[in-house]
Amino acid sequence: MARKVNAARNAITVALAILTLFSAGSIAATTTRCAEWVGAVRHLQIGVRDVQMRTENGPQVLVAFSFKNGSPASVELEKFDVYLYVGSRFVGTNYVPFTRRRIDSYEATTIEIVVPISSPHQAFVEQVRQEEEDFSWFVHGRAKVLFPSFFRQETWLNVREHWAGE
Amino acid sequence: MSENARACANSICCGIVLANLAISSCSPFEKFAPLPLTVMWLYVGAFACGLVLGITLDDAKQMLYGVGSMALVAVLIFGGALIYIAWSNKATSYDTISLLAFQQSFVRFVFISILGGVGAFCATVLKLVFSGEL
Repeated sequence: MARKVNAARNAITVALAILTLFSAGSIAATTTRCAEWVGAVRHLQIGVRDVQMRTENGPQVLVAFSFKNGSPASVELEKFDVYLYVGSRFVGTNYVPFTRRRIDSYEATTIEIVVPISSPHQAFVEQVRQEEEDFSWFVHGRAKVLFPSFFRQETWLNVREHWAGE
Repeated sequence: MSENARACANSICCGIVLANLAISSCSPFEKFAPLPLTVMWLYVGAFACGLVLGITLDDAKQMLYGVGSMALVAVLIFGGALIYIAWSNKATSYDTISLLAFQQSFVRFVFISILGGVGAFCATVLKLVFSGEL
């Protein structure tokens, strides 16, 4: 009887050892992937992808942004501030308060923001648009992103300076 | 296998298994884990590991040390993983991560110890019942 009990205990010990091997592999894989993710999000950047003029609902500019340098993981976007210039002249801004939006794939995510051209500048924009052939927008701004969980910290990503033709 | 060697080996193995459960059920890690789990699995695992120690060991003192060692190994690995992530990235939130690592590790240590102790106690009672001594 004692021998059977001892054999059963040894069997449990062996089973536990096998489970331990799987667990050790899982710990190593999880920790490594998490560390890589933290490194990737710290190098995240955001840039202007496209700028288009719209006139249907009054003069406004649609600016499309996309993430760069990110690995597939998730962050949350909370705010976006955009400043729009024609040449060196400021013509409009938009502070966009997002309902926290989860970004799961940096490469595929494009954020579109409408910047209304403020009325004192509308005539100027229209005049420049008609007169100058190399009419171009200058966009800059910043996005507030949150890293989830205990890495949750607010970080403002600066939009890289961008000139865009109409 | 001698009692002491088995006690030592099983405590460390249980600690590693529980560390995996703690990491797989912890919110920062779970999406990177091969098998994401809810925190309930950590509690179930701690109880099960306590049962295993209770079944495989006879001596009450060994069981007590075994459960304590198991919990200690688990939280050292868990806390170590959090610190490693902060250290390897020279994270700007290093202090926050360290503090949270300590808090989360402490909470898990308490839970694992209590549930492991309960599991070992249940195993001891079961052994007494089956052997006809109770």
